Amino acid sequence: MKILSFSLRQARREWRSGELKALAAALAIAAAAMAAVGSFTERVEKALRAGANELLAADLVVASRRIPGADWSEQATARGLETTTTVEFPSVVFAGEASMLVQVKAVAPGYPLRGRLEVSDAPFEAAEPAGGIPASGSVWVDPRLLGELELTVGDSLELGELRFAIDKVIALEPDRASGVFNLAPRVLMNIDRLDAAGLVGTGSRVRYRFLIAGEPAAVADFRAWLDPKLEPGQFFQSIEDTQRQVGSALDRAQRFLSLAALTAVILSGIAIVIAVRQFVNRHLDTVAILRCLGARQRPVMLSFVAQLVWLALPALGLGCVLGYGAQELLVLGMGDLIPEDLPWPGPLPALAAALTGLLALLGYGVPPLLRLKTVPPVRVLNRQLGQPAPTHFLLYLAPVAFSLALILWQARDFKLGLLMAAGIAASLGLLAGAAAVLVRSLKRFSHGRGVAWRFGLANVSKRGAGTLLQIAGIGLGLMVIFLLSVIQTELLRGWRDTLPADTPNFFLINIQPDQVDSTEAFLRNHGIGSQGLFPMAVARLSAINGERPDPDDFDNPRARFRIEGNVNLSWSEELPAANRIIEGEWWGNERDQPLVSLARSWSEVFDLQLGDELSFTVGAEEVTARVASIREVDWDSFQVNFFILLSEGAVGDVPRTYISSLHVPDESFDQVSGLVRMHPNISVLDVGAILKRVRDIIERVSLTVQFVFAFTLLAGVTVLIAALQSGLSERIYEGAVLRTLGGSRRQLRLAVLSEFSLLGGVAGLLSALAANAVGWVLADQVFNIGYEPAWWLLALGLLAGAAGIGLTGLIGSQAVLRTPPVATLRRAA
Amino acid sequence: MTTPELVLKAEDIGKTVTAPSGSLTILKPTRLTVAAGDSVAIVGPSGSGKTTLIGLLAGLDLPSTGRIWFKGTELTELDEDARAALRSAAVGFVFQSFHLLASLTAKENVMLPMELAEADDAEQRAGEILKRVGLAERADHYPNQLSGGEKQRVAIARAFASSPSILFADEPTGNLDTRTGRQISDLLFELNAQHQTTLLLVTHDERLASRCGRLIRLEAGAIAEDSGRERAAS
Repeated sequence: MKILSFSLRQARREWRSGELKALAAALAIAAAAMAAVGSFTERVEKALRAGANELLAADLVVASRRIPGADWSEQATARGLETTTTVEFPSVVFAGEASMLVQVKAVAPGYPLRGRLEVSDAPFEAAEPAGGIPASGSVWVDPRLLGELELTVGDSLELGELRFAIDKVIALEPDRASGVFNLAPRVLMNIDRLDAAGLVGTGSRVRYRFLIAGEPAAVADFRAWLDPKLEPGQFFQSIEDTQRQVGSALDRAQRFLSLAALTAVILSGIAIVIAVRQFVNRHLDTVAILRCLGARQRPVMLSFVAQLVWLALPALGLGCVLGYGAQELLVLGMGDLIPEDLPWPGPLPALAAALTGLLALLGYGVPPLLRLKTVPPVRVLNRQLGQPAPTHFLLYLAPVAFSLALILWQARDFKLGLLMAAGIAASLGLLAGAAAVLVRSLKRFSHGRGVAWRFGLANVSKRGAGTLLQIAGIGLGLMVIFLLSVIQTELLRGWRDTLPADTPNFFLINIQPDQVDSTEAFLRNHGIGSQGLFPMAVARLSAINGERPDPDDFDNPRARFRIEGNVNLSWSEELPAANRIIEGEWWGNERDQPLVSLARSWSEVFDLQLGDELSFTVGAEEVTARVASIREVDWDSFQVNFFILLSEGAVGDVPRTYISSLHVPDESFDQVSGLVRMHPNISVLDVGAILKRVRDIIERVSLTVQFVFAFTLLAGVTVLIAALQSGLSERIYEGAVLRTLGGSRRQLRLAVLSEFSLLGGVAGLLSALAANAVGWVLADQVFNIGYEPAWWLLALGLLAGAAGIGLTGLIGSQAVLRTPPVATLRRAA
Repeated sequence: MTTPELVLKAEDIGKTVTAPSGSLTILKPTRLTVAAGDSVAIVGPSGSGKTTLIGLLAGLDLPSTGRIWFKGTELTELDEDARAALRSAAVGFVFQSFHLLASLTAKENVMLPMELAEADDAEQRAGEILKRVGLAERADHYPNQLSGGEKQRVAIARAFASSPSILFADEPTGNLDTRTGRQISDLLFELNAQHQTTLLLVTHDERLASRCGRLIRLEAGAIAEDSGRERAAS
């Protein structure tokens, strides 16, 4: 038997007769949903990331303690990328007799490659895009520098061996790190005067940043080229390193989008599994006949597998095309919320959708097909004699393992994938258990009542295995749909709630101890919300367990960075809000002891344990303290937070300044400038742009999930229809028998309605329960946000399940009511 | 007088199946030979083992005991695939419930066994034989568009399409009214005579059984009467 040509012929014939259309539709819709949701979420994520890169001033940054490699620029340019370099170091400026410690940043033409540098002609005046970098002989400076040195724009200052004219005031520097409260104000200069000014010599604490921007593929290619060539002290800097809140928001965004895409994949998978099972069941007799007519086992099997593939290729292909079309519509639908230059989706989501569809089809189609192998040909004479052996459960190990791998891959997050897989398994268990109980209890319950009701209930209990599969299929479909609505409402609300309306958008830095009272009074009088003033001391890490740390002992570049740079210390009696102790204890009565509490990331970088001793140099003072606790810090809160918190007993009399975070409504910004006029030494750090970026990410993700929800519903409806269709022909036959025996259409309708409403109600209620449970676990374990159980979903699940499935069943059974019973009975004969 | 060639020879074949109540003997050890060109009717009440016997003789199932030879090849020694190959080459079937594939047209159903045997002229031969059974006009119709009698004619066309040397028919008129049943049996015997096919049929229809050269009556899983044996004895 020429399997390929035979199977192709058979596939064509079956297609023409309509037998394959249901399976093809399931495949095409599944592929469309996966491709659309996959490519759409990928595009949104790329757009979010590209937007966030504005806060990095580039798409990729290489931080380095030495001059970037000579060939870096050449290699980047060869890949069509833009590059520029910045050099940052602390220095001192002089203006007449006055001097001040500053943080100089020398920039080359092109800076910033992403985002916008904004300047103004005087402090707190209207800002405008800089449109370039400072000219050779001039500098742009922070407003605070002008205040403290009593200078104005147009004056000059000395920096190194040169004199520079102050040309502009910096209003917004896109890549200024938000987490590090640099006490020294910024001076921005042109890189071409760096040597002449003699500013960068040996021993100076210089940090080079090599900025790259361009096509994502070219950036990735450059990164791959450079990665193995990086030397100690050189590392790629990501948005997560510099803008913690944005990094964390992107991280959550990615998980939300992955989860949304995952629901589409899972629903599509279920639809395919149900459809292919029905295909196989309908072909048991075909196999027996073929075998009876002399076909051998292997070719029959192979011809069925080949038929599935023949069917899958065009159906999946069409689905992918439809999916890409649909995602383009989604993008249009999102309007202004998506930038116009949204990166075009790559072929990967389509390939993934097609491959997933094919593997789901073969993975779950082949084991029951193997069951066809055991169909004895004698089945043609007597169906009772020809029951094929049930599929061995071991045959499902491969597809189940494949599904797990698929979920993990799609989730792109091990924990998220594992929890989703566990959630699905638990939901299936719950649904199957409930179905079993239902089947058993209905046997007793179905006495009495009306005949239609009894017939309907008896059907539920009689079709034991069928009922179980139906409740599991419908329930799992509903569970995933409900989960997506839980994500859309509760989880996203939880995320939004992490940034309440009064989230701080300004930081005040460098408040002197004698300015604390007047600053507090100022804020109070102007009705500006603040979390209070926190003491802060700038220190250097001088010893770990009595030994001076050597940067070269640490492979982690962040450890080196922390040893070489300044660290900010603070102290507090109470554990600050947005902090949680994960190891050790917060100091209670022991606060007079020299103790220190570390943020988890800090303890991990240096591999520090409770009881280790740290020493810091603060000015001329030396502070030594024992690690008493390790904290998880919510860096996303936009509150003042510190890596290192000391007890009162450790601090002594170190020199200190104060810091505060404020929520300033837009219109009262002028009032803050009033505070700076009063105390020119105070620096105002505007994190409004970062806050806006994070809120923007949340809003875009919310909208994306909403769009995806609508689309995923389509895949969900396919699942429900597929699940309902299983056993429909049996019902049609039974309906015909019932009508022959004198059953009225009304009685038949009632029977169908009672059967399907019961199935739908049970499946709906349980799936809503499961969706809530999975949602809660995901909120707590993956997204770290609060979760309010969506109780409304239980009522909705019960009602929508009973009404929706009951009605769909009724519509599906219309054929029974319309067709004269004799026609149905004759066809079955 | 030359001894006619034996198409089928069964030695002590029996069938026992496991039932919830223990093992159940459907067919007691039975001996049987069928000569080429014979037409044999197997009759008996429901549950007497007719269908089991024909299933075993056709190689669709294996006996629990005993051996069967088909044209000198021992069926009971062959695996399912080898028996399938034998069926493909030499055996035709007609069933009570027609067993046409619903997704194929009448012509495609007739082509199917020839396609399985990789015949090149399947379509042409299918067309010819459909014409022969009077269904040329309905070649492109699907089974659900045909009446019971028409379905059985398609099944007969399918059975004869590959020119089998033996034809098994299981209640071929069982689902048809008397008149259609008579037409179908006329067709069956006409083609049988034309193709010189050996015919084994299971039936409740005494009139159909009486048209066969030999009658085997089964009762409670054993041969109660075999006109062929009586004839041989006489």
